[in-house]
Order: sequence, then structure tokens, then C-alpha cells
Amino acid sequence: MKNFNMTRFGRVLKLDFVEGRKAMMWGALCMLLLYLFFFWFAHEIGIHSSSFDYIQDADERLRMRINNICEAVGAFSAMAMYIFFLITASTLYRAEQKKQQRIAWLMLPATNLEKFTSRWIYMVVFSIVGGLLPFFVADSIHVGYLWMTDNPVMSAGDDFFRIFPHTRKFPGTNEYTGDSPLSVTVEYAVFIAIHAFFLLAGVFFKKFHFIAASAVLFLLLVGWATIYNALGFRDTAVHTQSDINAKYIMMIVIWLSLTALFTWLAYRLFCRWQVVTHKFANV
Amino acid sequence: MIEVSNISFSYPHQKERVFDGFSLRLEENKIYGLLGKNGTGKSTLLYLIAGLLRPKTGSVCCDGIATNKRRAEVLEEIFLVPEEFDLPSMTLQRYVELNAPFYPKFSQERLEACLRDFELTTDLDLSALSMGQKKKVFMSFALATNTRLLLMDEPTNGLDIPSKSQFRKTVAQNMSDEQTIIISTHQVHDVEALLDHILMLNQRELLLNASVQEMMDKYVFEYRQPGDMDGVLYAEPTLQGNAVMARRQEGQAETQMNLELLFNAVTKGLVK
Repeated sequence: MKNFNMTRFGRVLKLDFVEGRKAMMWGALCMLLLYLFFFWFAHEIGIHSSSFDYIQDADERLRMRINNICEAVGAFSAMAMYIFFLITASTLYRAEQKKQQRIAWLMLPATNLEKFTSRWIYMVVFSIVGGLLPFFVADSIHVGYLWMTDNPVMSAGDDFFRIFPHTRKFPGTNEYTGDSPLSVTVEYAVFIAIHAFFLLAGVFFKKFHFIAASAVLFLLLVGWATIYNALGFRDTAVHTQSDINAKYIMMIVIWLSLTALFTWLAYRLFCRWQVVTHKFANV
Repeated sequence: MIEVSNISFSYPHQKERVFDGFSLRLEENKIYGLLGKNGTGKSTLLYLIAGLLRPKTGSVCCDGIATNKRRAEVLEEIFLVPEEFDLPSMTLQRYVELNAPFYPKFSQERLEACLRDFELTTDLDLSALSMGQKKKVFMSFALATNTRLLLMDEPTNGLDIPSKSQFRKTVAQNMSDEQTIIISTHQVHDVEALLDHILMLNQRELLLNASVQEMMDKYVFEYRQPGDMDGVLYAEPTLQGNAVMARRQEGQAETQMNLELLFNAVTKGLVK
């Protein structure tokens, strides 16, 4: 493919990783400190809370309190990680908002597709190294602390990966999402589409990427909800499981299509980038 | 090599056009001096040639391929030295290791030669250099890439006086036979000895597009006393007498071109 040369792509990738490794390390360090702060704060609050005072057995009471701490830290850390993912996506081209950096990046002898793909891969790795790995480190430190202080040893990992609430009403139905693989896939598909939207916003906006993307997304959601209700889409009928599954599959297809659309738009916009653009948008 | 065809261009936040129906053809193996007052579109033209800006109408092509498509095979043949640039915090060796493979004709020997001419070594930490030194390193790298088109935007800005002559020497000695260089500047004295061809820009139009030889064949640039001003097209008083630009008479010896005088004469509409 003339538009994509693996050797050249490898060079772009190498350049991205070498130039971006400091940012990656700083990102990882900040997230590690944030996760450790969550653990410390939850301990300060949770270990002396009166929530489980009704339990007579002291060991069981302590176990419940630590379990509660892990649940809280897991949920907050997961939320922080997903926000970090969105920030990473929306600030992917932050350096290139500076004219000098933009010239260097656009003049690099590689195709737009190679540059875009390389930066996308960098973003994925940045997200994992900066957002995911520090949690395991922080959780390991917490486990080590519990072990050394003769407390019941527990990991917050399970709660961290239980990202979305598992039992809530699925939009447009009277059914609950439950733990079915399809419903969880829908939730992941929604998140991936939102992530792609933040990537698009990162390519489109010149300043305040994350805030601008969040504001636009909020307005879109409000607009969509208004139209949805105004047109009377609310479905109150009771459905069979196969109906619900068909709806899940349709939702997955829609959200993944949106992901593809947002990513494609981001790429097309990147292809049209110029060195001097509008003050707030790259057009 | 480079064909600018009937382009019109304006910046996103401005109504007034920088170029309107502008055309230009650049040949291979020449050093072009792109001259003009501030704000006449010199840098804009360089960015358009490099494909960093998109003309509203018309096209800018390098060997028939539109540069704004930013195809890798075109970018391999164009290097832009902007007026201001950033170099990453790493050693020069690492920088070369990461960037040189993108340029198929990159020459390590030429890089070392250029750095030697600029009185620098290859053992450099880019984060520890002054702005002038960074510029020398970047220009050395630019020359070493051996791209067919080298664009330099105000290359002597930020260089001290000895470095300006080093710059002229380095470019003259290390330019390859198939290379075309466009130097955009308003510091005409820094580059006048280097140029083969002069392009003078005014708002929206090319005031002059002529080779240095053509100018030297047509005109003489010399100092004259106030009583000896016959055939003078343009003059400026100086301590040595009047610096004049006059039509060259038959049999009259060729003189060194005074680019500042020519520039002033052209911008005043005395030479076309």
C-alpha cells in the first residue's frame, strides 16, 4: 500500500515513543500518586467508620471495612482511569498546537496515515502505562501494607475492573442490564465511542481540548435526550430476552459505527491540518 | 521543479488575501533569494511551497504532485528551516539516529562538514545549546538531508556577525548539485553573495523575478559623487558618496550587486 510503509511507520513510531516517553513517565507517576492518595484517603475514612459497628466479631468487622475501602478505591480509581483515558485522547496533539512543533510533525517524511496511526498507538500505550499499570502498582503497595500490618489482605482489582454499575435499567426497556456479556459489551462500546469522540475533539480543537470536548459531548447528549423524549421513543413494553439481545447487538453496531466515524473524521481532519489555523479550531 | 499556479490564499481569520492569482516557477540547482518587506507573504509562500498551507484556488506542485497532500515521497525531498523551531532534549547523535532515516540521501559526512564549518562538534547535547547554536545545528542537519528543495526562513536571524559569514560559506560549500535553495530574508546583506536568482514580493505580486547575472548585465552598482549622476536609476547618500544603481553601458565593467539598493529601487517602482 503506497499510503503505508511498515519501515517508515516503524520510524515514526520510534520517534513518537522516544520523544513522548518523558510525558508517559510523568503521566504514570501522577496517576500512581493519585491512586495511592485514594488508598490513603479511603483508609483514613474507612478504617474508623461506624458503618459496620453492628458486626460483633472484630475480625469480620475489620474485613468488611477493608472490603469497603477496596470497593471505594476500585470505583474511584476506575473513574479516574477513564477520565485519564479521555484526557489522553483529547490531548494527543497538544504539542502540535505550537507552530514550531506542528511544522516539524507535518514536514516529517511519512504519510498522514502513518503519522496518525503511530500517534494512535502511542496514545493506547500511554493510556495503559499511564493509567492502568500505576493502579496495579498502587494496589500491590496497598496489599503489601495490609500484609505487613496484619490486616486481612485484599486487592481492589476486582472492583477496579467492575467499571460500570452492573444492574441498572437499559435505555428504552424495562429490563436490567445484569451481567450478560452482551450488556457489558454495549457499555464498553459506548466508552470506546466516547473515547473516539475525545480523539476527534483533540484533533479539532486548538485549546482546552478536554473541557471543549466534554462541553460538546454534554450538549450533544442533552440534545439527543430531548429529541429522544420529544419523539416518544421511550419503550415501556416488557421484552423477551431475545428482543433485548437483538437490541444489545444493534446498540453495539451503532456505537462501534460511531467509533469508526469519529476516528475517520479525526484522520480526515488531521490530513487537512495547516500550519496556521483558526484561533480555537484546527480549520 | 516547483510550480506555483495561479494561487489565491488568505489566512482563516483575515479577509484580505495574501496571494491572488499568484504564479511562480522554480528551477533546479539554484539559490533563490525571496525578498520583501515585513508582511508581504514571504513565509506564507514558503509554507505554501512546503505544503503546510492549502491555497484556496490554484495549486503548488513539486514535480507534478500537489505539496499540500504531504505525500512521503514529496516530503523526503523538501526540508524547511523555519525562523523559529524547537529541537528535542537529546544528544545530536540520538537526534540524527531518529530523524536521518527519513531522508534517503542523508549524508553523515556532510553533517560533520557543516558542523565543522560552523565550528561545532558532533558531540552535542541539544538542550544545552544557545539559540544561535541550535540554528547552526539545524541548518547543518538540513543541508545534510540532501533534499532537492531546501527552504530557509530568515536563516541568519539570531546568528552573530561571524556566524553570518560562516552561514554563507557553509551553504556555498555544502550545497549539492541537484539542490535548490530558497532563502527568505529581509536581511539582504547576509545572503547577497550567495544568490543566483532574486524574487521580490510585494503584497499579492512578484515585483521582480530575475537572475543575479541578468541584473548585473543590465545594471551597475557603485559609488558616485553628486556631480556624476548621469544614467542613475536610484541613489542613496552614504559617507562614501552616493550609492547608485545605474544602467550598465556597453563596455562598462560588471560590478558587485548591491541587493539593498536593488530592493529599494524595485519597491519604489524604478526597476521592473
